[in-house]
Formats: sequence, structure tokens, C-alpha cells
Amino acid sequence: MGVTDAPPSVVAIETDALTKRFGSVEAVAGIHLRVRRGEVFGFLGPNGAGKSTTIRMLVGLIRPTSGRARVAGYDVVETPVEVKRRIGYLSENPYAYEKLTGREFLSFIGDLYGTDTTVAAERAARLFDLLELEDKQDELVEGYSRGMRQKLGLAAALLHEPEVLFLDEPTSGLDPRSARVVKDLLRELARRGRTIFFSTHVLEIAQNMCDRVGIIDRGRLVAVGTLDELRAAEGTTDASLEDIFLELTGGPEAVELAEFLGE
Amino acid sequence: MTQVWLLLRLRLRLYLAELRRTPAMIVMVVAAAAALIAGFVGLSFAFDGIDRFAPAAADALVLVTFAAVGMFQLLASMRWSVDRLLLSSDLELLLAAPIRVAALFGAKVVELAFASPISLLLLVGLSGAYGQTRLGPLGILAGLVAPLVLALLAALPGMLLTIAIARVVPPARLRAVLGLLPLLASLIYVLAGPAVGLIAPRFGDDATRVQETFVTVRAGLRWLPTSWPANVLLGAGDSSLPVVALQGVMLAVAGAALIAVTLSAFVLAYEEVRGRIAVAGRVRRGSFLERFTTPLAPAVRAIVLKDWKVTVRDLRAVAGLFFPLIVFGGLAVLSVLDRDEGGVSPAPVLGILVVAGSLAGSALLGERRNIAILRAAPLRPREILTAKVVVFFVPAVVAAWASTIGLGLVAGRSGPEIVALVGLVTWSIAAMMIASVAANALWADFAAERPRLGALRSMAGLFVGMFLAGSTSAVVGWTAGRITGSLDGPLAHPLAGAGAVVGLQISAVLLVSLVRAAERRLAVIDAP
Repeated sequence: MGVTDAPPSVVAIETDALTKRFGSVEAVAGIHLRVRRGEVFGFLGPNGAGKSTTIRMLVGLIRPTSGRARVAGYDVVETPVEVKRRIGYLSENPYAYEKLTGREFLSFIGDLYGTDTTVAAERAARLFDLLELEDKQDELVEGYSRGMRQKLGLAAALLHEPEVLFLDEPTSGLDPRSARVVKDLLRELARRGRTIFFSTHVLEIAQNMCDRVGIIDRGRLVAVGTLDELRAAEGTTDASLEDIFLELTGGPEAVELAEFLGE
Repeated sequence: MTQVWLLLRLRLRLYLAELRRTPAMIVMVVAAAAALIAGFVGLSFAFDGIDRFAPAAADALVLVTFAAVGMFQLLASMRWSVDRLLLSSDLELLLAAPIRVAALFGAKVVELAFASPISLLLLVGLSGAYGQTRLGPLGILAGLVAPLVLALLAALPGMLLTIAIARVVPPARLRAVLGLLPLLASLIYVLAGPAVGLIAPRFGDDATRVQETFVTVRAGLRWLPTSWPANVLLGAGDSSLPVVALQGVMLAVAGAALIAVTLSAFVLAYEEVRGRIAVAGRVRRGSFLERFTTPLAPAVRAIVLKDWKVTVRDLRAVAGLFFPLIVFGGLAVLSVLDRDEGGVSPAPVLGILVVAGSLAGSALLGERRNIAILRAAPLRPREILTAKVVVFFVPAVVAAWASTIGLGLVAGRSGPEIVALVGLVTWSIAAMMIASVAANALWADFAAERPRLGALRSMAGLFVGMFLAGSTSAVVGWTAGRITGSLDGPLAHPLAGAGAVVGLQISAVLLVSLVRAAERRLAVIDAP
């Protein structure tokens, strides 16, 4: 049974003509998408294609101009609080309070999501350990590097053990070792049946980790499927995800840049 | 020098860009300029009178102001040394750029010197007026230059002291020590008024006594380092040119030495000091506040605790919280000292009401782009609004109660009257804070770098809160007056009471509507 035909009970994320306009600019143009429970879904696209806007609509941070979206069985516009209880979200530029320590920030997040204080403290300790932040947990966030903030944001998104995880560029700003830790963590979460919806520019990660990918360009979803399905749609059997991505989103800019630098 | 100017021009361009984005800032700048001009013109007239009555008093006034502003600038530069220099996000960026450290240092000194411009503007007005009175039109120039020299020279020891404190004080106590600076700076303003108010009436009209007293004061103040730039200005009035020139040279030498020492200290120590201040971020978890807030709903409690922690660790936020409360507390003291037979002025309590509203609004605005954290969490808008009202409710209520009880006792009010007033003030503070938080939730742009509410919208929020507070007071006052029989004339008529009740109903509807609109906006606002 294809994903499109999946019954609602196994669908974690579902959008129907989801659209967002900022003034005259159409950032997301009528996206139809279904992501199964337990699926790792990679959301790819060039800069400004509408990836973050789509994710922000799905987590209830911005309202769609038109169309519908359901996450974990709840409508994001009609029942936003129910949706938010069940999801975790890591922003592209993680939010954090500069004057809180890492531990205090996670404790605050735990309270916001109604997680028991003791349970939240135990999970926070585990996450700090896992993400190699244990010696920084009592320092103010203002002293954290970009990568440490990214990891703190990921810990905050995972603290209440959400059903569905939305990650906007989760490995951005991380060193290779930390990026590996994050990838392993996501794999483990997927193994445990969590739904993971993440955007990335690192196509190698998408190719290795995702059950399916969606490619968005100029607000329109131009392809969805497994790597084999995308290859079949492009009429090839051995193209990499990078080849397919560039084919679908266009790639003359690199050549122009090389010519410019050559001058 | 070119690089210093380049950096300053860059900073100036950033300020101007910010001014262009926020009309409220333009209003502030125009108001400051108007205050400067009005101060200059007003003081020009005042100096004529003071000069004729007791010339030494005019000189002493200049010296007192230089000393006070110099001390304030010193403390202000210590405070800004932390935020705008040692922890400034652009410091490493600029150090990595092909810019000489001395140029960067020079630009930062200028930036620190003018970081708290209001007191400096007042001094420029006074000093310019003094220069014009004593030396004629050319004296205005001298009067304008002297405060600028003072500002630059005060910034240097400020930086030096901050570096020294950061190296000496253990990291665990560093934040607390640095956090006291804005309080000290605030106290200079607050204490200066009552001090002058207490001293001035003792002299009466005895010109000779005034002259003799201020000759002594002037002689003492001239030795203060903060008075050195003023000495040049004062010397030009009654000393020969060589004496003035000598004082000017000594000032230049002292300034150059100070620059050299501070620059060396900065170059040698900034890296270590920056690290120590960052390490000072390690804090112990408090448990008293957590117990204190147990009755609150978990999510509201979490936001309140978070805001308290964030506030006490942010020097600017501490100053923003305590400065107005100290000012109005000081006004309450002045009000008691200056009381006449007609009783004491309730203005300080009214001031605290306005400040309470403003604080509550700023608690919400302080979220900036982090409002997304609250929006992404499973919270209802009302929980966010409630938390932001609660955050500063306790300090505002404590200040208002203290002022109300103090003024009530001085005015000879009875116990039940004071209790009723305290109840009314508490209700009014709640109304002001709810209205202000709602207005900010309804109209603020959280995506802005420094979210602000326009003057009109702020006024609208304050108006709704004040309307409810005023109409409640009217209803309570009218009812009490009828019971005690103290009302007479048209006020005693039942129609007056009915009018007050209608006013209360209208204001309640306005407040509820504002809160509902704020909740709706908070539920649908696009998070930055």
C-alpha cells in the first residue's frame, strides 16, 4: 500500500494544498504531502525554496494562508495545543534564552510541556551526556557556541519525547563528530518508531537516513518518494540524490560562479 | 585616527538605521534635544540671577554638576564596559579584522562615553549656559567641550575598574558586584534632588553666608578628578590665561596617561576578563523562588521563574526594573519632606502605577524572537499573558504599598483608610499591568531587533488601565463619601455615583476586549 493511500491512523503528517503567502510572495504553493508514522522524511530544497516556512506551518508557528495540515492526527490551525503537545521542533536558528544556563533552559522547556520535574531532569542529564554538553550544562547559554546551541535546541526538542520531530537543518553548525552523534540519535529515534521530518542541505545525510524525501523548489513540491522512485521518475537507475536534486532544482549558478571567479 | 572614525561611522550608521526603523526613538531624540535647548536657555537666565546674588554659588553649581555627572558617567561606563565591550558580540569580529587594537579601543571608549547621554546632555546645557554668562559667546564653546572631555575621561577609569574588578572578584560573585553598578548610578540621581532640597532652604536670603559657604564648597570640589575639565572652564572666568593653559596641559597629560594605562590593561587582560565574566554565568539553582511560586499553574510558573532568572542576570534589565522604582521611591521621600498643610502629593504612587504597566509590557517584549519558544509550546495565550503580568507584580506592589502606607501615615490617614487605599492601589496595579501586557501582545512586532510599542499604542494601553483604576477609585470614593457623609454639592448626588459605576463598566469592557484581542493575536501571530 502506497503512502498516499495510507489510512489516517498511520499518517503522522498530512497536508492538503498547504499554502503560505507573504504579501505578494507565495512562499509555499499548495503542497500535498503525507508522512507515515515512524518514517524518516527528508525535506530538501535550495535556499528560500520554502522548507522552513512549511515546517513552521506544520509546528503551528505561522498560520497557513490557505489549505490544511494535520500532525499526529490533529489539525494545526483548529487544535494547535494538541499538536504542540505531540511534537518537538528544532529551528534553523535555535531559540534560547541567553541568561539561562543549559540545564535551566531544559528545565523550563520541561515545565512548558508539562513533563514531570524529576523525569525532565533525568532526561536532560541523559541528553546532555549524549550530546556531549554535560560540562556546559551549568553555564549561561550566552557563552555557548553555534554548535552547542544547536545541540541544546535538539535536546529541548527531544525532552518531552514527542511523537513527531520537526528538525530544520539539524546538523547545521555542528562539527563532524557532533553531526555523527546527531545522525546516530535520529536513527535510534526512527528505530523506536518516532516520525522524523527534517530539512537539510547535506544530501548525503538525506540519502543515507531517509525512508523518503520530498524536494521543494520555489514553494512547489517537485518530487516525493524513495530514492528508487525518484530515480525511476527521472528515468535513471544509478543517479545520486545530488544528481536528481540538481536536475529538479536547476544548477547553472555554480557554473556562473566558477566563470565569475575565473575572471 | 582614520580607523577610529571608520568604526564610529559604522556604529553611527547602525544607530541611524535603528532610528529610521523606530519612530519612538526619533521622538526621544527630539525630546532630548528640546530638553538640552530648554535647559540651556533656562539656565542662562538662572545663572544671571545666581551670579548677581552669590558668584561662588554659580561656580560651585558647575563643579557639583561636573562631579555628579562624572561619577555617574564612571559607573555607567563600568556597566556598559561589560555589555558593550567585554561581552559585545562584535568585539571578536573587529579584533579579527585588519584594524589596530588601539583604533578599536578608541572607538569603544567613545561609544562607552556616550552610552548614557541624558545626564551628559543636561551637563552640556548647564555648562554652556555658564560659559555664556561668564565668558560671552565664545564661552559657550568652552562650555560644550568641557563635558565631552569629562565623558571621555570618565569612560577610561570605568573600563579600568571593570577590568580590575573582573580580575579580582571571584567569578561566583562577579555578576552580583557588577549588578550593583546600575543601582549605584541610580542612587546618584535620586539622592542629588533631596540633598539640594534639604540644603537650599537653610540659607534663606543671607547672600554673604551663601557666598562664604559656596567658596568653601568650590575649593573642595576643585580637587575632585571629575572636576578637572570644569576647572579649565572656571579658570577661564577668573584666572589669567597662563594659569588656564597650565590647567589645560595638566588635564591633557593626565588624560594621555590614563589612555595609555587603560589601553595597556585592555590589551593585556581583555581575553582573560571576557572569559571570567562568561564563567560567572555558572550559577546555583535557587529553591526559595520555586517554592514561592508553587500556587501558580506549572506553565505560568515556568515562565515567571525563567523571567526572574533572566532579569537578575541582565544588567540592563536590572537597571530598567529598579531605576524607575527608585526614582519614584525618591519622589515619595521628597513628597514627604516638602509636605505642606494641604497634605502630601500622591504623584509618586501614580508614577509607580505607570511604571508597573510599563514593566509588565517590557516583560512580554523582552521575549523578542524567543516568543517562538512559547508559541511552539502547548500553551494557551492566556497562560502567556498571565505569566507576564505576574513577573513584576510583586516588586511593583511592594513599592506601591510602601509609598501608599508611608504617604498615608504622613498625611494622617486612619488605619481603615490606608487599608482601603492599599487595596485600591493593588487593584490599580493589576489593571495597569494587564492592560499593558495585552496592548503589547496586540501590537508589538516581535520580529524587530528591539521590539517596541509606538507612543500612541503604549498610551492606549496605559489609558485603558488608568481608566479602570480611576473609575474604580471613583466608585469606592463615592461610596465611602456617602457612608461617612463627607460628600457635598453635586458630588453627593446619586447621579454622580451612577456616572462612576457606568465609567467602571465601560472601562471593564474595554479591558476585557483588549485582553481578548491580545489572546486572539497571540494565538495567530506569525512567530519570527
